[in-house]
Amino acid sequence: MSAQQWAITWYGRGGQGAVTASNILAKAAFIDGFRFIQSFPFFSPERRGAPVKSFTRIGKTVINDYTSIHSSDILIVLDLKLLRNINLSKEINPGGYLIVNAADVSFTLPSKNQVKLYQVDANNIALNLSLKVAGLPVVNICMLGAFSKATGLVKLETILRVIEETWSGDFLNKNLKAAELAYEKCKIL
Amino acid sequence: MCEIRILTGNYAVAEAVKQSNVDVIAAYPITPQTQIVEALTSMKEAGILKSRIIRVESERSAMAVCIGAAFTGCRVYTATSSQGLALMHELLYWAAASRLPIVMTNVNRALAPPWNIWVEHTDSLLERDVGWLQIYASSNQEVYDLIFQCFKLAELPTVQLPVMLCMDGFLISHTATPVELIDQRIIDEFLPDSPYTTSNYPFLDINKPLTYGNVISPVTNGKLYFKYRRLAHKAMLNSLSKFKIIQEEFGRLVGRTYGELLDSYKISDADIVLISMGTLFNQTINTVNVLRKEGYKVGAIRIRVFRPFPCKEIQRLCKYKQAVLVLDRNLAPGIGGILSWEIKSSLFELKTDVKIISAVAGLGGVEVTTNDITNFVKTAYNNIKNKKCRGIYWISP
Repeated sequence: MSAQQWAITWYGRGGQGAVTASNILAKAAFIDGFRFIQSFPFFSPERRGAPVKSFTRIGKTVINDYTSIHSSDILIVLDLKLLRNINLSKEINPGGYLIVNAADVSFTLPSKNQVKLYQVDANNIALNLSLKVAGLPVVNICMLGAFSKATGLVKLETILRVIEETWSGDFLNKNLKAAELAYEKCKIL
Repeated sequence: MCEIRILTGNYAVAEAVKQSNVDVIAAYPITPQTQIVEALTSMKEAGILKSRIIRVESERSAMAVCIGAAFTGCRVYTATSSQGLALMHELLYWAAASRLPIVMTNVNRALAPPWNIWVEHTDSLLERDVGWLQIYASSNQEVYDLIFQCFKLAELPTVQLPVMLCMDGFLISHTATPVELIDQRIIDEFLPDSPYTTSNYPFLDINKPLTYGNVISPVTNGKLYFKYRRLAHKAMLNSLSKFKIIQEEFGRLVGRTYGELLDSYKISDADIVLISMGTLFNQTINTVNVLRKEGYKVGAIRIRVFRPFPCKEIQRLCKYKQAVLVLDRNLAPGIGGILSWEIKSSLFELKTDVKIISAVAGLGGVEVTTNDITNFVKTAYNNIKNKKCRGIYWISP
């Protein structure tokens, strides 16, 4: 991690919107002054419900890396069950951020890394707003709100602006609300 | 100011094709090229793409449609990958030998079996001798910019050859990055809408039927076949200087350049030069930065134009180097890396002592990290110092 470049990994399940979140973050970060951006999924055939990964690199200097991200500055987990497969001491850089979608968190972080742990109950927010696709809560936009609160790298207004450019109607309003609520409710542990 | 959008390589290509006033598009979808076809067809549906899209049942038919359309003198575009390119093979040769300025994007992907949809350059390098120009890009912005340059180059009367624009599957095609779009007025100035002119053959006109590509017997008029082949070779060589001129003009209008036939990084004082194509080059830049801090004098070169091969430029840049390390994201079984053989042939006539070392890396989309390349350079460097010879290096997991 440097003040110039940030490597961000999204862990989710097919259908939760990890790829879309990565793309929206890319656009918002660009608006907020990160001139060098990469947003890409883990390149494989994806299915609903299966674990998926998506990556965002945002930088103020040229990004020459064309590999997936193996150790992140910011790791966002859309489904807490996926944590079992994540080696936290390896996959988060010292001083990095871990942002999880969880009602409550009952695990301890490898302390040597000084990782900052943030929590938001995105499932709850999405379900209350009936923000669902195929019966499942769509939590990606909540996590973007939480990202903004936790890291301060991208402004909430910018995320809202990109969301406005992405959708319309009822779905847009729900997502705007979701981002705002998640921003409000996201807290450090 | 020009609009900047966050686009994947595929969408950047589709935007550029839309702006190039292409007359006919015929393409068959294949991963990882699919988004290009998707984007172009949805632009057509939305009424913002003027081109005629002809639907086809295979890549071979796509190229056949392109050939027929190009014979009428109109601007033609197609895109494919891997298996699709291989299926086109016979007609690729036909298009080039007919001197048809078709532009095609090949999104590099490994060939099966086993099935693999990820990046590798073997698919397009297999077609290196069919007579198409081949240009390799290493960023979304470059891909976007090159589409216009490719049409311009292909359509020059002294060149008049098809151009294959290659980009890394997924690493460029599916990675979204900022892309600065060019104002349509500038494109119209750079790439006029009018069809190209030709002195090489009359355009196809259904009211005046002609036969194209008829039999030439080696007994009666064999010289003619020879002549056409030599002319194709000459046109290929012409394209080297023309491409430089086109890039200068583009640079003046748009303000972006990428090195001419080659791109390079910190090579002027380097003893060791890493040569690669596509996004591998970006990764080698990181390696150069790491190794420079440790005191190694390393630089990097990227081959942008692979056909015609820029022999003279390679010679000029590598003549006084200690070692040239070639990273090949391809494999010709029985020979090794294809690029390293081209480099060896280019440098042979110099009769220098420069060591040429070949490494095969990243086949079938396997990741090549900065660390991988750094370790390879160090191992190769030590072996050179200790006068240890070895064959190909394999950078594999």
